Amino acid sequence: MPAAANVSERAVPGAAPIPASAGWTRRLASARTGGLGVLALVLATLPWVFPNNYFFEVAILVALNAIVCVGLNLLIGYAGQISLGHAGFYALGGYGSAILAARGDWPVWLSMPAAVAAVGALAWLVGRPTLRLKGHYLAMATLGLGVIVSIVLSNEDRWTGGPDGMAVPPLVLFGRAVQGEPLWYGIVGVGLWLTVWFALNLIDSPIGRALRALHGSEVAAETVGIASAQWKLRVFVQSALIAATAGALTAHYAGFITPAKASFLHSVELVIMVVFGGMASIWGAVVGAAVLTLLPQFLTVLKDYEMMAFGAILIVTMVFFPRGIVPTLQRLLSRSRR
Amino acid sequence: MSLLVVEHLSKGFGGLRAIDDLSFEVQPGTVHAIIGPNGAGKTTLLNLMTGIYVPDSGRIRLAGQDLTGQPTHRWAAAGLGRTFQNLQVFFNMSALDNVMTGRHLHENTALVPAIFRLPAMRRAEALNRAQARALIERVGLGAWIDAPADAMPYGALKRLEIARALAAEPKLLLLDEPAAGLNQTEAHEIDTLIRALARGGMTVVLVEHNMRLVMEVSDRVLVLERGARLAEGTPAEVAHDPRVIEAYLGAETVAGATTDTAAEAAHA
Repeated sequence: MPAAANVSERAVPGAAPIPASAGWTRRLASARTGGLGVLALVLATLPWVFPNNYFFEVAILVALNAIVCVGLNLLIGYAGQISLGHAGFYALGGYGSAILAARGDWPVWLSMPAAVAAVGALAWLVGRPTLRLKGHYLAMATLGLGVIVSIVLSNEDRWTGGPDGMAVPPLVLFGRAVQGEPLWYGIVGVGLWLTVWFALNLIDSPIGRALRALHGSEVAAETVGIASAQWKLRVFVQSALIAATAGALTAHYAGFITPAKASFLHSVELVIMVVFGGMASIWGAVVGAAVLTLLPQFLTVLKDYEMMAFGAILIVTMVFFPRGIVPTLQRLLSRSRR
Repeated sequence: MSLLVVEHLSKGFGGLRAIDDLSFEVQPGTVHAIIGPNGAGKTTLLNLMTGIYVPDSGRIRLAGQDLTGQPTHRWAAAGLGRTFQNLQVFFNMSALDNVMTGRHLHENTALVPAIFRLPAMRRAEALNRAQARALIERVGLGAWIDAPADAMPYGALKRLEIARALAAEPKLLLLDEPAAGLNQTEAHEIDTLIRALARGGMTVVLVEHNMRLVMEVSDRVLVLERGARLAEGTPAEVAHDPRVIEAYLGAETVAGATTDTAAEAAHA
């Protein structure tokens, strides 16, 4: 290994070994492109091994949750803020687009971006006053917002169909309705891959350094000129936009939407996926979303004991993987390599 | 023209006047030390000078710009860089990333070039990386460039903070006890570094307990006591000022006090 030459020039004797400069960046780059390659391969292979549509349905659900979690992890893991209302943004993206398309006769290719933009504006309105304050005011504000959204969606039945939900018109592109699980799997799969790629690029850019700096030391971040409140607001709005996009896709894929999507429990689930997979880790968000979406599918065989087993698995995982699955594994791996 | 102008600055906490009608100026290209016994108001002054506290009255101008009451990042944008007495390093990053983050104000933080990793952004990143490497070498941490910050020793982190502050190309560098907690050798390295910065034309405000360091590198010294100016002048003037000696050693020993004893007492 040629990089070993660099390791030997150490100024402080007995200090921790320093990864060789070239090797370090190369490894980082390869983990990045390697990971993206593996993700593309997995996404492309799965349709060939899926025996029936049910598998496609679950895979679409996993991918949509993963998209939301990658966005949410930028907020939780990097900006250090918790949102307990992301299910609200998710549902509003779906309902907004559904209502514009069904009641307003908007074409879906227009109703989706319009609803997503409106959710972004709402997130900005909620985030701007709360993120100027230090502490976890965003968690409280989004908790309240999520509950309000959930109540409004259940009660305004003239628009939303009430607790029973409403039918959603299909997405029509080039004169044809986008329907069928395999096609939607393709759309959502490409969406997930792009989301991960964008997020990885973002974290490895001046923006990503600013976000990691906020996570590391907000005081120091401010002293190098990082406007912390502004950056937190940017990330919060972006994560809400991503959640709303996923929500709109879900609505038009399923052809149906209910207020359950907006429930507080769904918001908490999303946060758990992020923490479980690993905060401040893009791959952690994907893994967390995948594991926690798939787990209930396997645990249904336990019937009444399903939730007990689910809880036990969560507790055991957090005991042995305190930083979340991906960061803890990464740490173990890099330690064993030394 | 003075680079930093502090006018009639006051800040109280309850009944305590931590800074009491304080005025002073810092000339460009000089090393200006601020000293004083514990509780004299040095930390409060620093927090006022970086936007962490808002003064009750008075104003502070940096390079002609009135920054009184502005948030910290505005002070940074106006050209103020600082280090911290109790380290504020980004422990979740490598040494290199810490220093690269220091260049935030000079970087393009638009979303589109970042998420698509456009060639212009890659070139800017490469340039930033090269500059950050050079800075890390300059503060003598060449061997630690790619080390994770949480694996670095205390003395190295002190210098890493200086490199990060320098990366922003500040007009004024505020060093808050850069030698605190360092042994003789490490303190001497900081000493050399500050001298090199001063020779390069950097304006430095130095808050420090280590009197030897203050006497060696400063052009001017401001002595604070109970939030007000006790004395100000060259290191030699201040060291022989009876009021300063009295504040540090007590009234009885004034007669026999020399620079060295005053320095030692202050350091103790």
